[in-house]
Amino acid sequence: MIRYQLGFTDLINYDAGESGITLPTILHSGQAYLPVDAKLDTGSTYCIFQRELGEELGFDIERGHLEIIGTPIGTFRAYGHPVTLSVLEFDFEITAYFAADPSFNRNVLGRHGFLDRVQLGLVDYEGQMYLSQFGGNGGQ
Amino acid sequence: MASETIERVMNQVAALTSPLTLGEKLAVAAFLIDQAKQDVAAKSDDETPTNGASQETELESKKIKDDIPDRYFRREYEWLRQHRHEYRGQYVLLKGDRLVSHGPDVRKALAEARQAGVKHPLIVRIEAEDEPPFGGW
Repeated sequence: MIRYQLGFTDLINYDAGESGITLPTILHSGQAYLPVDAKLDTGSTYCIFQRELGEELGFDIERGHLEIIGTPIGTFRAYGHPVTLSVLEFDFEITAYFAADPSFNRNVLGRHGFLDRVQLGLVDYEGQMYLSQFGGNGGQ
Repeated sequence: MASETIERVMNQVAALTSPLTLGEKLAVAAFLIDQAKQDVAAKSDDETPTNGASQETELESKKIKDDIPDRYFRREYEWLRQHRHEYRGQYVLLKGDRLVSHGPDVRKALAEARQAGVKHPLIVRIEAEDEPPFGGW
């Protein structure tokens, strides 16, 4: 028996054979922009990207807002900078965090800045992600 | 609107509504208030950017949309489905179904792409075969 229903405006098919659920993302700041592949991470508080991407966008990484990010095996430093995050047809103005450590090679879409802006439905078995902007035409 | 014009309109409204009862006049007043509210709402819709982004961002987004018409990057992901296994442990930079550059250093790969005249390729890091699965944070 279906007790609850949500509607979505977008559907993206991702490669369910890969290790993560990835979304094409565009980071932009001023005139600079970078299309990157980012993993959906519901366990991450923030949207965190590798340092080089922030530098390519023109940020002086260490001049951003410092956050110490906790992981099960320790912490790392990341610095927040204002960017526009575009995922599919949605544009969000967010604080993106860039890892201080240049060996950090992950890009993740976390809660603040992404998950709190969208409605999301997953059918991982079929590699399908349904998406709507929160408060947009989908869902409700 | 100049104050003389407003005064003239109000005189006309007063003249037009003078034969009306108090209730009818109140109905006309309510109608005008509703009209004003609708005007404000319509103006606000025009001025409020969609998706919570600023007007400046909207302009930037339009430029980006011209450069990247497919925000789903379908051709790039189709290329990845077919060739991912050939570039394990590397960054691949793609424009459409074309591999623009690749290698273990994203900055070098980006520089190569730009030298090749591609300013905004999709940047994808393909995990190495022996890489431990990502555990999230």
